[in-house]
Amino acid sequence: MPPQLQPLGDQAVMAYFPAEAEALSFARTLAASAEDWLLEVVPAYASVAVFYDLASIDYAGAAVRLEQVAWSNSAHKTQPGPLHIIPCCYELGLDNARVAQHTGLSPARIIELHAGAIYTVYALGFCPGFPYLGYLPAELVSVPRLDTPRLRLEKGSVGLTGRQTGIYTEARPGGWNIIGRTPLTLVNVADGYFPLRAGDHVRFRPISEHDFRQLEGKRLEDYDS
Amino acid sequence: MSLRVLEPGLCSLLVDQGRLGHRNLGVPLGGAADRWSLTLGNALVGNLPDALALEISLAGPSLRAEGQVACVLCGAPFSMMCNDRYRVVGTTFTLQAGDELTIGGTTTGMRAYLCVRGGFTAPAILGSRSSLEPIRAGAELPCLAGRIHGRFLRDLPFASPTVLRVLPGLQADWFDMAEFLLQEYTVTPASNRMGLRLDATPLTFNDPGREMSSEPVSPGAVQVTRDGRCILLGVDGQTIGGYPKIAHVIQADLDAVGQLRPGDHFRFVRVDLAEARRAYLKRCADLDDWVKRLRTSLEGWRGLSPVNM
Repeated sequence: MPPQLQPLGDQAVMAYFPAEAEALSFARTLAASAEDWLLEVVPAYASVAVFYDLASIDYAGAAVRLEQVAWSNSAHKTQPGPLHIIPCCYELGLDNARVAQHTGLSPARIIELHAGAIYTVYALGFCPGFPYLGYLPAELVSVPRLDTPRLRLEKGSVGLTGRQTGIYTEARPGGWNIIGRTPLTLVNVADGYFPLRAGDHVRFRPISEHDFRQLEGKRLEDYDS
Repeated sequence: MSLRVLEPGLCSLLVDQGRLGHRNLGVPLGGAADRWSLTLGNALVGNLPDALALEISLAGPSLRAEGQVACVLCGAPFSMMCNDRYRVVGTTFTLQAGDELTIGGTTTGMRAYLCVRGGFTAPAILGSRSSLEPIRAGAELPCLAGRIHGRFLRDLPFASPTVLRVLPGLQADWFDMAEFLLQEYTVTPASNRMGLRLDATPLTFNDPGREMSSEPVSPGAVQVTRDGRCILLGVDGQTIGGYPKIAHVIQADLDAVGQLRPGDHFRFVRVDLAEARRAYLKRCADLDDWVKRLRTSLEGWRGLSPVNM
């Protein structure tokens, strides 16, 4: 199915795909192309924003090129992204009781389900390197956000809401339900360190608080190899 | 050579033209909120458009020169004193070692750029030297030594925008566009480089229960929160958002967004894609024109050629 194209202001063409995998594949192909009017390619779930240089092309011109890329891309499959194992200390969660109450599951079962699934990084956003991971096992879906967001969540906080789970890569205010914390450093903007990319896969490994302290501050690459 | 920060001001930030190409990592575009003023300021001191400058917002800093530095302040008409003498926005001057430059406030507009000849020096992060944090008291801002004759820009009036041109947003059909366009909007104090929170009568959702998944957004997007209020995203705005967007400010007017201050009133007016592009090309051509004129006049001076950063 061809994507639906719409203008994101006069800056980008927004391409909506029927499924997330198609959007990720299209984004990867396009980012590797050498279109001289192309500024940035930003995927998120089933959508891709394609930023173009308004001085060298107009919306209609960019849209025609994207239709061609989408058409030729639909023929071949792209490689799946790498799988990262991310340690998570569920004892350091803040909202495990709230999640248990909403889902009717025991805290142990919640950990089993959350750490049992392999997630896809559908987007990086909110703050630098924050991975939007999906989708949660059906039993964990639909826990609403907190009514009042917390003013500060520690770096590494692992949260969930709706169908998504994610990791606060930097300390931030946030309204997701926090069920654990990873000791790993998953972003360092000053060093250009962004080990997770859209299309990669992630699985959480439960660890003890003792292991959390041992691993605290380590980079993903020093653990995930 | 450097400028020493005596008082940091409200939010003084080292900026260039931004960190293009990293939004897929969740890193905002960033850079100068008013790229037009940054480019002109840089041209006045002989720099290329992307040289690193100090963005001043509402209340400026106090700085002490550790040596001879060629400067200009370009943008909103901030008051400014060098020791006991007034200096004017848009006119170049040379600071001598020990001189104290105090940038005050402005009666109109929000931001101006202190450009030094050769640009400030800072490490590049993801292709940009823009800092991630505002300057602090006591900090040293390294730059090149330099001097400059008095140069100034004529016929360049500064006015706060009263109208911003928009294209319909990706979720414009969630709302009544007429209701949106008829209102006057006021910038609230809860505004910053990430976004302007606007005050007006809350907008009505056609279907209040409707949800959307998060998707890429960009500066200029007008998001509507659950309570019907508008947030206009700025240069440091997040890269992905889950709020519906009723409209999108065109690129030609984004610098104007960077000059809106709390209390300012304005309206949105709707244009189409063709008009947006014409406006953008004209703005680029106008800026190019100014830069060329400045460069030509600069090349006439012995020993003063454009500086490459």
